Amino acid sequence: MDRNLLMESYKNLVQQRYFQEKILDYGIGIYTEIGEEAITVGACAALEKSDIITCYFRGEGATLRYKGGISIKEQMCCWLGRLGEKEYINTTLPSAWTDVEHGVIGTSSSLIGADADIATGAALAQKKLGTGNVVVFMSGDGATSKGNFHEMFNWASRFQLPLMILVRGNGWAMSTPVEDDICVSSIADMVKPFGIRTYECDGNDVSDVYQCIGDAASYSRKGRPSLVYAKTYRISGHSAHDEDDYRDPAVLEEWKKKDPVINAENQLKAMGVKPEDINIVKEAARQEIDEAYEWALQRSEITVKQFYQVQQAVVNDMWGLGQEG
Amino acid sequence: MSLVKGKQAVNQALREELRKDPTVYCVGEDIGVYHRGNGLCGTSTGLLKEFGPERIMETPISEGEILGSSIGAAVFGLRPVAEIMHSEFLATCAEHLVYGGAKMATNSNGIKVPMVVRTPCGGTLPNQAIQNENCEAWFCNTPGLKVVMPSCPYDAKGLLKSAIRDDYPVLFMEHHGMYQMEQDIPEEEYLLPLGRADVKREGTDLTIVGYGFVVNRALEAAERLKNRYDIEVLDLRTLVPYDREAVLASVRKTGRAIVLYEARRNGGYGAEIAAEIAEYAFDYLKSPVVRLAGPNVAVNHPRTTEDVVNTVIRIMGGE
Repeated sequence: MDRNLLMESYKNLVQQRYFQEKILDYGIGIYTEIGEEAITVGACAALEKSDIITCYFRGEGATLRYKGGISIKEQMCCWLGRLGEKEYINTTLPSAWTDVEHGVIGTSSSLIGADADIATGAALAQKKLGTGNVVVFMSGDGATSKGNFHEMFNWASRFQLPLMILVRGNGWAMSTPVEDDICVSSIADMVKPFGIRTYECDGNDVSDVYQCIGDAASYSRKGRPSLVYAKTYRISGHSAHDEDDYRDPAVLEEWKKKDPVINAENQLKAMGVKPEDINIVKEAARQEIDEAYEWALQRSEITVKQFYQVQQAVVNDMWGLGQEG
Repeated sequence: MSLVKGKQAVNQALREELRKDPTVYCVGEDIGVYHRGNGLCGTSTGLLKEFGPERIMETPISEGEILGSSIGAAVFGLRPVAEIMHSEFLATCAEHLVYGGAKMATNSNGIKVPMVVRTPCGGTLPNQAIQNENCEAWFCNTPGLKVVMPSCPYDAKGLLKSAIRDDYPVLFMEHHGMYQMEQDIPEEEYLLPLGRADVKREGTDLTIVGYGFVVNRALEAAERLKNRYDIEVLDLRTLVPYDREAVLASVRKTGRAIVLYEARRNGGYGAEIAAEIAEYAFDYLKSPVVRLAGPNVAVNHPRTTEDVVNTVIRIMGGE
């Protein structure tokens, strides 16, 4: 990454970290990606505008801000149950939003693995339409136990799809360690027999993620599936409600030292950026989140009825019923 | 007009839409070379030869991917017509119909998901153990998803063409008996609207409102009883959204209703229609709304013309 891109990525890392902290403070029980933000930020930076990525539930819709067209203010409104300016009120869960124009596939349920099949289809469309785009299916590592994954590996290989499977190796499937759940030596070994090329990167180093995703994207664009394993660790609990009392605190402390935000800061310093200048960027980034938060709190609350009306209007449209319903 | 079997009518609809729109493609297991190129149920005749493997995409055994990939492809510019070999198999890929198809759109302010899922359903024999499932009820509670069940070849062709041109997910269920049924259909192109019922036979004494292949049993029963009773047969064609106006107009006219469906009676989709009639046409009813449907056993048992005749006589006071 060059200095400007790293600076921008650093800002995004700071903002994603702080955004999640604000939402947690407000009291919403989200699935945080604290400690894993470099994967989301690095991946979105590495892809072309026309490429497509799945939203992934952890981090709660961050992809929609970094790849998609949703602003911090709008997404903050969504979380705080307020009406934004764009009336983005179809769902109480930002990660469920699909932004076709900017290439982000939202999660339609909490079924792990469903997006694997949908991403495969998006890749199939890129191939059939000859777009040259790559589709990135972003997922956790525990999820690879699911049958959908194995169908995806088979299809990606069988039909030679421009599909990159980005596995975030955070080591935990809720409360089970992933090494207990997966009965092969590594996730890379799971896909190699299908002829899927594997890559590995340090998921806590945004530059490494950026480089690796860029390489895999160049490879897969041509209609060859790839898997990128981004090694990281789940610093937070599974969700905000997780008491997280089943893990070794010493391991957690070790991984906290590899914090992706601090990692990016250190890289900037190594490039010669002065700590004061880094601080200025950090403070400005956090202030933007604070301002968005305050702005959202001033917006009118979305009523249950409004929410229901928007949903009903979409259903009527799908059923071809017009306004009468 | 030409005489065709239901499977040929479906085949024609597929061919015409594949010719018309290059973004349409078929995807499923054994939809190309199987059974001398006719496909398992005879709906694939000539398609692989004319359109090639890119557009008649034969897949590994992966219903999850067949439906899931169709959603992804539909969202990003194609119009997949997925085939699930037996409606039994819908159980293994239901997540995509229920959440991926409908909910994905409602979560996103109505993005288009122009996907059709075709599947053979139902049976004609009373004691067949498998591959004769009628599971439409599972999917009729998913707002946004359309469910269509043609009763005859003419309806199948016109409805399937409309379903393929529809911008949102449609579950299209083709009865095994309908595949073999013969009917005259026009040579010229025609489409039939989704969401609209069809009066297959006009009458004034009693309404049989039904859907699927069993509607033909109602027509046979009405013919058999024509010197005693004047029976109206209303074919829903589309289960969700169903044509409430047509159903209520018919029941207001006749004052009596039998809701007819092949699937198991309890919790079947016909129960929804019966409840709607009871709620919205109560003042017009001369007798309770009755459901005539399959027995509540594990295996599908299609009702016969005799069953319909007996039910009509019972409701009409048994003269």
